Amino acid sequence: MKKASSSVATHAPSAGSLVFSPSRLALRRGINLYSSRYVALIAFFGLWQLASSLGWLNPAVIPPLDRIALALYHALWHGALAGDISISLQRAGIAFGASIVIAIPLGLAMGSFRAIEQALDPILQLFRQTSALAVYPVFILLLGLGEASKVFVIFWASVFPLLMNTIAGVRQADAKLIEMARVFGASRLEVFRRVVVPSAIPSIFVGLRLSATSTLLLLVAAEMIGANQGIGFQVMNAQYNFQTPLMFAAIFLLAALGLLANYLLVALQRRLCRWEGKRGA
Amino acid sequence: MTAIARGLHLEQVSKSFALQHSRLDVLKGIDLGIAPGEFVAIIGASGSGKTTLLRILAGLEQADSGSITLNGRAIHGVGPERAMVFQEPRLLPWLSVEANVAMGLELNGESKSQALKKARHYLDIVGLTAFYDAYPRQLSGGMAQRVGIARGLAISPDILLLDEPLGALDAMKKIRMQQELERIWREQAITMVMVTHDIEEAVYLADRIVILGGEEVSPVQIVDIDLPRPRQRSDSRFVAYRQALLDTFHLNDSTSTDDR
Repeated sequence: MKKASSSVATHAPSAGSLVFSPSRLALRRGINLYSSRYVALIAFFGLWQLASSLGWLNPAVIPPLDRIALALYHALWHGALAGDISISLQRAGIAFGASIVIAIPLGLAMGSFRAIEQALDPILQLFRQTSALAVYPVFILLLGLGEASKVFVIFWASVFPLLMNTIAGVRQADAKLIEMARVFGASRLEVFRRVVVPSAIPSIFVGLRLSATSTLLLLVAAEMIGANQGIGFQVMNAQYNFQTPLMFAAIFLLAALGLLANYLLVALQRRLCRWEGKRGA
Repeated sequence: MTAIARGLHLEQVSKSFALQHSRLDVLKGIDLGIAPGEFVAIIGASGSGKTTLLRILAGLEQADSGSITLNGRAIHGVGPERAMVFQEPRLLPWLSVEANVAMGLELNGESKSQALKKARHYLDIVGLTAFYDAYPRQLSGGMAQRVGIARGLAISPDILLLDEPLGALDAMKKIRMQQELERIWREQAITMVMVTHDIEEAVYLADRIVILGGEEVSPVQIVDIDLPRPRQRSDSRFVAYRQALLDTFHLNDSTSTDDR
């Protein structure tokens, strides 16, 4: 751990700076930690820019980053991309929201009551194993080519990870803690509220993050297959029109959306699960 | 006519478990009276039913036959006049120490603020004043067990049931906690019934020791520990009690020296 990753912050060490004050040491360690975390990423983008602008790669296929940034700027302020972002967010938001509203209560119920679980499990397993994209044509036949079928196919893919993890979370509740609560006079409902639900929260968050990933995956797929608006549509459309900078701009937008969703969920989990202490996200 | 039956009374309490092809009699016709304010230890080999007996007293298990009364009233299920301290502290990891103690009170109908006030009072009693808002994962085993004891005391039960509460602690902490437990018992003037597998612990703490022996020993054997408190472990009479109890379990032969 003593070896500093020498890729960053290599101002020539003067003789005086060999004596580090504690705060400078801490700063240095901070910079090193930060740089070692992002060094691969920065190298990747640096290499990309270099390779493309020097012609090692065909810039028509892999355009340099500055042209992608420019295309992004233009599409946002002078083009239709802002509208695409808003419609994509709306589709993903409705589907993800519906997953939360349905999967969490249903999962809590299925985890708590054997009878409900046994009645629903076989059909849910069948649905879960059926690829959302495979049944997308069915949804289009049923719901038309409009928003409803897209939102529904995204919902279909995002609801199951959350449902399964909620059920698993309820099951994980420690029988010894439940017994303790009973000794202190907790009713079934109190046990559920004070022991079972809090026990399930970490697992529910795992479900939420998996579900958010599925949401974005199916968002793009649905928009590529049958849409004339949306970020996923823009990726496809830009490629058809040989606007590769715009295509990459849309791809980066999607990546940013995924990172943002994950970041928000992790932050929320940190707030709700402070008792877990510093554990890896 | 019996006098007013103060305290805890067990009459002919039996319990058996159904195995695959047979029945296992765990408790057979237990008679026992425990006076208010008494400290009773229950010892016995594993499988002698000592934990089962405690769980029946707590209301977590139902006796097959016999009657159990507390201050003249029959016991059915769990109740706030009996609190339990478990071998593992069983604290809710997402609640602070004070909220853990307050939970038992809230479940018994106290308001949130009143419960918190009482919780802090009992945390003071067990010596955890500085740890009101710590989380359980930040506590050592002994401290976590103190929280468990505070939680049990907080609901002001007539009887505190302790299921090997110090069994998981190391030797030094165990002795410290035994002293603490005795002090709390004395100051709170509460009845304590403790299951333990540690004979010395039983002699140190208990007014009476109940020996459950399964098949080997007669159903229940009761030993009065007539020693002044606080007890000295090196006292010759203390040692004599310890020896006698070890003899009961045939553990005093020089050939087998494991007393765990």
